[in-house]
Amino acid sequence: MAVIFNDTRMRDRIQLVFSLGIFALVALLPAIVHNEYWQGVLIVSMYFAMLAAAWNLLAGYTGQFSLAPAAFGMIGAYVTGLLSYHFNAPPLVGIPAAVVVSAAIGFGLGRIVLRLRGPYLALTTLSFAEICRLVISNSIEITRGDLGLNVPGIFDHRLTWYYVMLGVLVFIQLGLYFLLRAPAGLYLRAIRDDEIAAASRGVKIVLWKTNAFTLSAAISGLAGALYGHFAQFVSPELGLLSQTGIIVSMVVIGGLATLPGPIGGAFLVYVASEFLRDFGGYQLIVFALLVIIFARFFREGLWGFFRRAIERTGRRPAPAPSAAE
Amino acid sequence: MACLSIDSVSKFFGGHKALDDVTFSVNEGELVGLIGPNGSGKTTLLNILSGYLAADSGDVVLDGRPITGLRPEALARLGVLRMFQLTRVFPRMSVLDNLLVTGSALGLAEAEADGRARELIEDLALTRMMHLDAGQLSGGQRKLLEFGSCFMVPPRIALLDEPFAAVHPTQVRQRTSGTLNVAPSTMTKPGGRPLR
Repeated sequence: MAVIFNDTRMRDRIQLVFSLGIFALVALLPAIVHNEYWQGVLIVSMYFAMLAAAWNLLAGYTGQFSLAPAAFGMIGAYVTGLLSYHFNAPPLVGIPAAVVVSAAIGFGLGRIVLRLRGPYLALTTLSFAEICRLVISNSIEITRGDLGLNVPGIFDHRLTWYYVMLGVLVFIQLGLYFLLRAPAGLYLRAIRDDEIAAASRGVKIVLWKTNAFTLSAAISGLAGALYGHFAQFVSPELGLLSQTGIIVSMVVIGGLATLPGPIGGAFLVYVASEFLRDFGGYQLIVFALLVIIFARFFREGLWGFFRRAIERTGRRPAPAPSAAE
Repeated sequence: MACLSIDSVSKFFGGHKALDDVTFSVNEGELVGLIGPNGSGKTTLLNILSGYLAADSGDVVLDGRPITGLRPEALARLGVLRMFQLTRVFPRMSVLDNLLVTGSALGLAEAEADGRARELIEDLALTRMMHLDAGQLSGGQRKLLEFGSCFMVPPRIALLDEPFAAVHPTQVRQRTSGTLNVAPSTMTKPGGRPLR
């Protein structure tokens, strides 16, 4: 066990199995969680898990620390929301349109920030996110501004929503796994580690960076569109920077650049934030502190603890720590 | 026949002329050493040849095709592979994956790339470190790994910038006498120590 854990393919596979385990657990939860409110909390957690997985693809695997994941969720939500508000378009049209529009905007943003790194990339994506939010909240004739839009629901039963969201989340996670084990996964990680070296080895930097932005935005747009129909309401608050902060903290606490990290982190952080709701703004302080502690001392997040625990169950100790991934 | 010809390439950094009408050619199978004191422009020339710097004037022709102004990834695909003076590996990827990146990017099928990478790892005596992250390797091992990256696919030309600096002589012998297809290549070395 300990030995095979060092192999990248095996590492990814174990991480996938682990995330499938989380999904199985979540699938069984309605057996104990009968309360509709808490089922709703879990559904919103799944929305965040999608955003977190999408952001992890960009920041964790490709090294592009974007601060716009919530903005793409908001864009997705507004595309389907506006289509149904102005044109009575059904969700079957609105949701795919949300994916396409988010992907296109993600592609554009990816092109713009192609040559930017580190804090410059973060600041540019942050301004992009704020511009999107302000445009939406000020285009009152089109979007009704801060009043938000009412969006038609899709399913009557909360449990139907629950399993549809879970199904989409599983689909996204499997897609990411297969992407990462394909050559694309190698290219993305190579770009993260050293862009100059990647180029010198023939990796098409422009193509793969843009692909990462596009795909991440498409997933976020899908998440946002689904959320809009679930909540039956979209507002510019979906794109607040604090939302991005929550997404980042989910990934960092769960484990950056790991498959189960963003999923586990999303459920833990969002459910915990429900418990901490009474403390209002203080919950953000708690998560911010956790992020600092994890980023400083536990680079692999909670997944790192699990990994070490699994390794200890192996008969002999690992010959070397398997990764600072 | 000349595999690579460099025709009056010049490069200025501000008012400083780093390269002054550099002209020479490299034949297929030839091993060319580029020798000169620090600051004489060896790395600058390699940066131009591998697409990281644009020449202010002059032409570079590879196999009869002008390659001036192409990007590094395009050049790599044409077979211009390079090693950097300050070693560049992918620190958070395993040794095996480091080589697979090059193999896949240069068009090898997955199984083919895997086979070739394992072969190279054995030749470079890195088998024990195969699944370690490259960031955990010693400086010399990183150089070996980067060196190996240039030979995942037989290159048309390998530009090796101080490939043997700070590498143990035994490893130097290993590299130059192994089953690696090390030619044609150009190398830079400060001072004039012969390559073997």
